[in-house]
Amino acid sequence: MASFLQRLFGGEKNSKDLAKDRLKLVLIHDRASMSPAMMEHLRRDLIEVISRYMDFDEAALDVQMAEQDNMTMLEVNIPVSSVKRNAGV
Amino acid sequence: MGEAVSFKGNKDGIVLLLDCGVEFESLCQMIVQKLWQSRSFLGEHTTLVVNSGDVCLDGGQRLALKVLLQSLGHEVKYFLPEDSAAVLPKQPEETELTPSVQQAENWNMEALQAAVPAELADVAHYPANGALAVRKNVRSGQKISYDGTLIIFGDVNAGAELVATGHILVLGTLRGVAHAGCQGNKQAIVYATNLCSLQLRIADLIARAPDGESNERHVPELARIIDNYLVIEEV
Amino acid sequence: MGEVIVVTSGKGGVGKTTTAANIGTGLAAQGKRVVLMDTDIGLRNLDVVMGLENRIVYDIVDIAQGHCKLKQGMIKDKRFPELYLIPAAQTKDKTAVTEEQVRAICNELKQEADYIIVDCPAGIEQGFKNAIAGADRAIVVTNPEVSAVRDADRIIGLLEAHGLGNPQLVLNRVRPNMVRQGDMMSVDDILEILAIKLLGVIPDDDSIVISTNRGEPTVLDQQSRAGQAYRNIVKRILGEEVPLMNLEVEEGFFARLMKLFKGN
Repeated sequence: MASFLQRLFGGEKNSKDLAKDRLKLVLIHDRASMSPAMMEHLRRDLIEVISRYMDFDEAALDVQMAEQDNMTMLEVNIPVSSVKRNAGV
Repeated sequence: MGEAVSFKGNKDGIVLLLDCGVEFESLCQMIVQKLWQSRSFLGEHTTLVVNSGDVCLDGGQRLALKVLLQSLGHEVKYFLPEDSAAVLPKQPEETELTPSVQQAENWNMEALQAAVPAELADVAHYPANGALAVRKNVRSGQKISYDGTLIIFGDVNAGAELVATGHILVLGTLRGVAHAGCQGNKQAIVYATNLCSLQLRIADLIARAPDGESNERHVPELARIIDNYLVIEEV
Repeated sequence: MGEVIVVTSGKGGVGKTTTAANIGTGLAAQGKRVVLMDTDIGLRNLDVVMGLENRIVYDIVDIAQGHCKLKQGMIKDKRFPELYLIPAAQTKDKTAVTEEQVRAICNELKQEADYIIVDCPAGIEQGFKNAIAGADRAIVVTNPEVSAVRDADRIIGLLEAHGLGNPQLVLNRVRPNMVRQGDMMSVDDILEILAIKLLGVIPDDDSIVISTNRGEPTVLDQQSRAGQAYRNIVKRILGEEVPLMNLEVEEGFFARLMKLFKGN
């Protein structure tokens, strides 16, 4: 009875809404995760594109997925040695 | 009253004295224990006279005892008291119940270890006569295959599988599948102190439990082939 | 040419085997030629749910490895003449068969049967890959629980990656009272999250436990609500349009009056 009244006056969320919200958050993360094979593909594609514009140490190229403030971030760190002056022109 | 299982000597050799006031299945367990304790005194292969006192063991019980003793390396010379009505059934009597001599000679530790799943590795073995004894409950998903006679001291649960070229004796409840004489030996038997297997196989014959109610009867039973039928009888 | 339907879930214990048994039996009751195939090697259960555990001589591993012919490994059901079970092996492990072998078995079965229902093991490892190897379509079973729905989502993604897009959902163990009270996610809540087609909703029903005890699939029990729900699923698989059944148990006037006073 007490919990019913609480719900009635909006004091507490239904447990199913709680479940749904938690589930949605978890699934955002689950669905954003990439398999190691996909990460490797991405890495190769990045190297191919970026090397058209600049010279860099391919082995040092670092690709990561990270969580920040409830957002999924793709972090790419590339130590550049030199920019190709007339690339893409 | 003394022990249910004891030894005595007479002119024919060593007599195994049994007190049949004890239930047959407990008696079997005690016999195995007694023989194991007395192994230095008995030696590897001894011919025994089995004396069950006032009570006359029936044919099935005699057969089960004979197989049990043989699987531990011993022969039965004769049973006392004699009872013409309860002599061993003819067919099994004529046949060689022991695994062949060759099997016994081929027996080695490695073969035993290979036959037993890793999770059952800490079991005790009886090297005599090439029989393998497993002191453990065999659970669903576990399978023991053995070239020779297999004795389980424990329960064999549904989903477990025992396969032996010789006999299979389960001193406990047998719920899983047992296949004795798997290479075609029709003289092989399956004995369990509580036989409620869903399916039994001897040589190339298969018997399955009837559909419907479970049949845990808690009586020792013995399965063997008689006239090309797989027959299960109380002992 | 028959169709191979894999019943899968990711999470264990949500009712895959029960669903596979009921759909298979229900299809057979409609006169279809059906083969139920258990691919949960090492943890077989479809045989006991079907009440056929005492008839197993050969299993899927024996078939895959050629120890017996396909026909020998198919156990005939006791209720329907055109219903068969291929049991999993119990004393081997999931790597005892390969995806190619399962695919070959499915292809051979498709020549003879109308439907091949494959019961998939829990998990996403080799056993899952084997189970879906020969499948034409997939049914995903889940419960209205956070853990089960999350795993269902993962499985849907993996099915798509393996060319089994558009799987259909069976939502199992729904408790209408709890849904009404807001303590259980509803069908709509779950469809909103998973965004796949709904094949059916099974109410939580004691008759499932009882029928499993007996080895008689619930779908044959005309009194059972879960049985009715499975019969509806079977009709939908056969292409009929069947509306979702009302899961609410009819309540008498007095019960409703009591509720009014109790305030829940």
